[in-house]
Amino acid sequence: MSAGGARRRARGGRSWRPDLVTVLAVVVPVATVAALGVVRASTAPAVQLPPTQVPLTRADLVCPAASDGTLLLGSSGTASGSVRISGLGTGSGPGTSRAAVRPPAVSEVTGATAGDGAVVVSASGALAPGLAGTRTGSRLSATGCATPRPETWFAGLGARAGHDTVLELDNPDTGAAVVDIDLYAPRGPVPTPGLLGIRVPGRTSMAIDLGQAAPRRRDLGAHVVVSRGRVAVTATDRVGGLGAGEGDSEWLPGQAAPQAENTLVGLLPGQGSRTLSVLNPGTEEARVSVKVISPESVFTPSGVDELALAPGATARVTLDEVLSKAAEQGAVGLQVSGSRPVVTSLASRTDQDVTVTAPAARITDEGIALVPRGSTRVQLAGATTSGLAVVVARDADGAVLRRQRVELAADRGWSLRVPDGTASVTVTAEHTGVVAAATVERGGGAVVPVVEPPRYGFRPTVRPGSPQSRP
Amino acid sequence: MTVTALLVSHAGAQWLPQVLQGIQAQTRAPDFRVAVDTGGKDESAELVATAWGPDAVTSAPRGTGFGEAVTLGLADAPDSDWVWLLHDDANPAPTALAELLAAAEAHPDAEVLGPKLREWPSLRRLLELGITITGTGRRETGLERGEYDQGQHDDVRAVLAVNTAGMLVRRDVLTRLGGFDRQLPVFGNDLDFGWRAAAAGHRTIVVPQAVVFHAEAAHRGVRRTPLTGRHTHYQERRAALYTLLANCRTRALAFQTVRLGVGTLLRTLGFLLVRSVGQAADELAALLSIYVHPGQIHRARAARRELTTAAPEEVRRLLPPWWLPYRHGLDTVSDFLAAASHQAQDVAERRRAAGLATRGAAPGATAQAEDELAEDTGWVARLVTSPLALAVTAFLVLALIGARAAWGPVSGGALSPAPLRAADWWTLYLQQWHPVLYGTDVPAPAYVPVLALLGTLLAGSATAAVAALLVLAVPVALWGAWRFLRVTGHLVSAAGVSRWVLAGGAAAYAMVPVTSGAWGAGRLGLVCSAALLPWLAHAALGFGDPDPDRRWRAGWRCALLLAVAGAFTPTLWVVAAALALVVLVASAVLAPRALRQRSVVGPPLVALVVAPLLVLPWLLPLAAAGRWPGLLMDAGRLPAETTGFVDLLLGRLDASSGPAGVGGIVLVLAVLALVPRASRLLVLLCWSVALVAAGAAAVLSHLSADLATTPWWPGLGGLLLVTQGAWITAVVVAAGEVLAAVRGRAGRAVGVLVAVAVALTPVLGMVWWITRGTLPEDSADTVPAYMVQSSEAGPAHGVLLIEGDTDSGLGYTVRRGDGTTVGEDEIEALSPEDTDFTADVAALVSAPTAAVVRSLAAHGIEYVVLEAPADGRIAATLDAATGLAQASAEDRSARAWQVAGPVDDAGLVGHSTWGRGVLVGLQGLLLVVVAVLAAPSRSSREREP
Repeated sequence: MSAGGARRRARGGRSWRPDLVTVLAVVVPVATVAALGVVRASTAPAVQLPPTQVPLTRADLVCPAASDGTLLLGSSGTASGSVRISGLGTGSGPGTSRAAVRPPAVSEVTGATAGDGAVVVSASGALAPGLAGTRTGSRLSATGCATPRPETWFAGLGARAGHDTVLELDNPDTGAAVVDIDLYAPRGPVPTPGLLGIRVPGRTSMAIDLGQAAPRRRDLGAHVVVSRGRVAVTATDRVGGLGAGEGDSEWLPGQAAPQAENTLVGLLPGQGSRTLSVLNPGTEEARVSVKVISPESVFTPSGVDELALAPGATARVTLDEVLSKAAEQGAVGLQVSGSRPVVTSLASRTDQDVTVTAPAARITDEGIALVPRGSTRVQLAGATTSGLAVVVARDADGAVLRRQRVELAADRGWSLRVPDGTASVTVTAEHTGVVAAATVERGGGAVVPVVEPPRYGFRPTVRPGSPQSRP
Repeated sequence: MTVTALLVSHAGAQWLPQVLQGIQAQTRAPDFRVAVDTGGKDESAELVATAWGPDAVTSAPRGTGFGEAVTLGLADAPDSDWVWLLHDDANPAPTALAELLAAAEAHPDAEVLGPKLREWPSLRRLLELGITITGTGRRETGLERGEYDQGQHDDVRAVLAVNTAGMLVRRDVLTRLGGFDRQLPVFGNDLDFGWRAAAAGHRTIVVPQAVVFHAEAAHRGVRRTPLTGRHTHYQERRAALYTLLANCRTRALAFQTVRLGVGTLLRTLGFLLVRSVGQAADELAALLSIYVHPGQIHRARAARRELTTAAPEEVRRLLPPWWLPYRHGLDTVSDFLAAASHQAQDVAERRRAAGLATRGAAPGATAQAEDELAEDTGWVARLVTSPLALAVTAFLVLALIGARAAWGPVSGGALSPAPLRAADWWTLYLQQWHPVLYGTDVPAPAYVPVLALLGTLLAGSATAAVAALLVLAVPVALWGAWRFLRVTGHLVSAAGVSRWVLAGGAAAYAMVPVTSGAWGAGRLGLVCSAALLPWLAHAALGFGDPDPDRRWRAGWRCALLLAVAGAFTPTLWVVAAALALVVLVASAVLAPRALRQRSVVGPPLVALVVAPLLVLPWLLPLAAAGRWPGLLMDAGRLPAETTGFVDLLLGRLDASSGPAGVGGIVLVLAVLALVPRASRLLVLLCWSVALVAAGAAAVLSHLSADLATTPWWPGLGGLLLVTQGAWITAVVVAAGEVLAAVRGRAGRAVGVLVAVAVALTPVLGMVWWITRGTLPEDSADTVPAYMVQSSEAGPAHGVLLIEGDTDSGLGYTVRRGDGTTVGEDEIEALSPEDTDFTADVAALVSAPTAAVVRSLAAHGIEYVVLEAPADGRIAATLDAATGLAQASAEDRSARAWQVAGPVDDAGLVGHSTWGRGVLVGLQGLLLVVVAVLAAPSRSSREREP
């Protein structure tokens, strides 16, 4: 109030000296702001709760149906024992039988035990980690046996006379499973209500012929979601009998999730049509570029432009000449990069055979491929940094035929010839990840991706509260 | 017609000379004069003996009742037609007897006549013109309190009874009725006599032309006799109860007995509420004395039955209407509320008056010019003729529009949905063990009873309570800020601050809960605290009252308000404590003498200490269990907003809250407010308050804890409210000073500038609120409707909600009943983790066994929901689990299962102990005591005629 003023007047005001109130009028606000400056803005710390690694005690591999089928069983682990092989539902399943697995040897199961229907290979205990299997069919077709997974994506499916795809849904458990399938076409998603809520009874295999479910479509993509239970999904392409004869079918691997960077490894030499299929499952346009991976470099082939894909649309890129030429020169695969995650596959229809490759999972530890007999190469690509890969080829008894160290580097591929008689290929990556596949030629051709069989289980970390409140 | 004047005296020497003179001066002198003295210690008997001769005086022993005295006096008196009863403190006007007799002649059927009683010595105020008794035992005169005699009641009329002071009664009637009841020695015998007379078919009239001046010495407690003792109220009340029960009709007796019991309890409570403990005790004692002696009533009724001849309707006509007691009750309550709400209003005036008084000047007329219009114009006229009133009305209407999101069920942001019923809040509060998560003994938050009470008042609707708080917070804050700022303005200058500035400042403060983002974030606690804070500040101004009694009351009032505000925002208590400490230290330096007065230091300490005691059922269990974060936890969902340096300066909870920059205006104005020299000291005080709050914020912001389900740190919203409030007060004080000082055209320009500056914040804030400020939508429910329905069946039907994926970790919550509702957020947050249950959930999602599923059922889990996007691996694991049946989920990307087997609520209910009841009971008791101590005291209102 006026106390300060009075004091000041009393002093006469000749030499201005601030009174206490005036001084405080400066000090207090400054102190207030200073005190506020000390305030710490608390934020919730980012909490990562990685799962704990536990020993894998049970492994179920689902091997799809194959006429004239053979089953190759092996393991990247060390334990030996016997696994159970059970036939699934339709067809003349072999019932349940047992087969021995003695790594590093590869067991070849044939005849009634392997059956021609889908089978589940179950291992428990120490045998579970590293269990791997390959199903081979007629004309040197081969595909890795798969662990059931919640969703699988496919690109490059067909649903017409010349190119028809059958999706095989294998339920390894006793309870029923439910599967939803969404289809995508060049103009976007295809409404197929009939493919939603497909009930797969326990321990049965079910085939969905896209030619019937969505007739007269081409360049289809599919998203298979297992909404209940466990189902392994395999796609089989039947390419129409124009010259190649009947039964010219080939397994079409899917991928677990759309990716922005897709490395397709496994290129067989030879002339023929080579088609890259791409699906953009997102809700925004994706721009996709294609590069060829050669032992020297990763390069954009001339005449292949960047691709613009509308949301939910599929597209096909013809790479006949580009790849035929590149394959002759030792190219191992393609690098497909999208501005958004995409699904992709490469179908090669050479004079020898039809092979389809899809982006395989990157190997960071030890991967294995069990291959049918033939002239075998191991192709590697997709290393992100420099590192090391040890490639070991073994015969069916587990004897090492060849062991080779490969100095890995980014932006190039490798193609290694391994001796004939190779039954298994293991690739051990160090310091980097690598995508690998084994190609086999013997009259026809086959591409078997090198995969890392699960060696551990992962137990999720659980804590009370909503993760949303812990950003 | 012969008349015997009978004077009963007892220690009435101070009135007797005039009374005797008055009797002497009668224009129609009584034929005989008899006096009875009941043994007073003074010279009453001598005075009468001197005037009337020793033979006229009969001495009775001490403790003789009025009835006995009359009987005694008449025994020796010569026979006469009439008896004129007189008290030693009742002075008849010279024509009193003449007028009474004239009336007796004019109304031959009248057998009891009474004069008009006026107050002695003011002479013109009416006391009684005949009396009657209400159903609750109140002596009813039909007069306003202190009503002046202007001849407005001068008609002779029939009444139930007349006062014995100046009563003219036929002697035979008096004898036949047995005189006055011995059970009523001093009080109420007139009413009882009148009632008996009426029942026996006699007519009582009041003769206003006859005037008697009555001192009512016994009633006012001026005269104490062995019969009245110190407890005149007890005697009066007992007489009233006795009269009612002895005379009422037989079929009404039972009802009347119960009614008087209940009424007495209510009255006792009322007396306690205004701290009239003695009267409350008298009230209760009177009832008990009647209840424990039913024989008295029985005998009295038997005696009356013999004499009753008149039809009951004849008597009923003379009793007051049944609704009269209720109207009196209503008047009392409204008087009380008015007094309670005006207690602290004029601290400034009283300080000024006290200051003037100590300086020797008479307290001058205080500036009340602004309220002059209020007295005699209708509110509509005032509203439409006052631009300010129109502006405030517009503000309130806009505030209602801005709060439109809260019209109805509301949840979102930090606000959980309200429970189904307000009763759920009561249950939550009274329960020791809550069926929340896996069952917990964390106490319910302190604000739950406040919400429960409000919800109960709003027809039991919890939704309405939450909506009411959100909708009314801004108007209530406006009102409180207006009251606070007005008193503060008066502290600056006698004339106060311009009402426009007051309105602008109050509106600016009222918008703080909105512009800070608290409203939009659903911070119900902060919104309520913002509404309460100015009321608390207003009450705290009472600490500066010159009257110690008012300071104490301010202390209790602050305790009450601080307890409620602190229940919503506990950090406010921290600021209050820090402020008290600072003031204490400052006083120790500046005015050490004041500190030695208990009534100066005591009230603020009372507020600080009692406020936590008032929330003991919340505080004690938390403190005992060492759950200290709970003690500083703002109401609402966790975690609190991330409030940083800039946010506090700009007056917002965090960067995403509120309109950016509006809070900055307040800061700039508050700095400018330091410029005017005259108001600088007060502005500096405001800044000091802000400094203390800032210091508290600096300290509190460094606290944090990791609770079982969520990280925690103290919300700084409460401190933000205090700084904003302090700054706005500073601005208003300075603006008032500037406006008072400016003159001329330039001055007007400055005035307009100041007004615009003050109005800027509320206007911008309001625009923002109406256009943008809605509550965020709660995320869509992930629990299907059928599960919700099932979970409401009981706590055992819980839904386990699992969120996240294997790679980044899973979190789980349990939904029980109607989900997590307002009041349960804090309980959930403070509940310690049940590691067994977490282990069960972990086992469930990795390697489920039948035992794990059974354990879940035993924990009261009926459904398991894997929220979208569900991790397929976990879904597959659960699909394969024994004991889990697939159930339909809310959408395609979520999964659900039903737990097979019977669910159990063993761990969820029960564990009731009496400890909680005792704590809540203590709280209730303390609440009543504090409310009574905070209430305005009742001076001598009971002492009415």
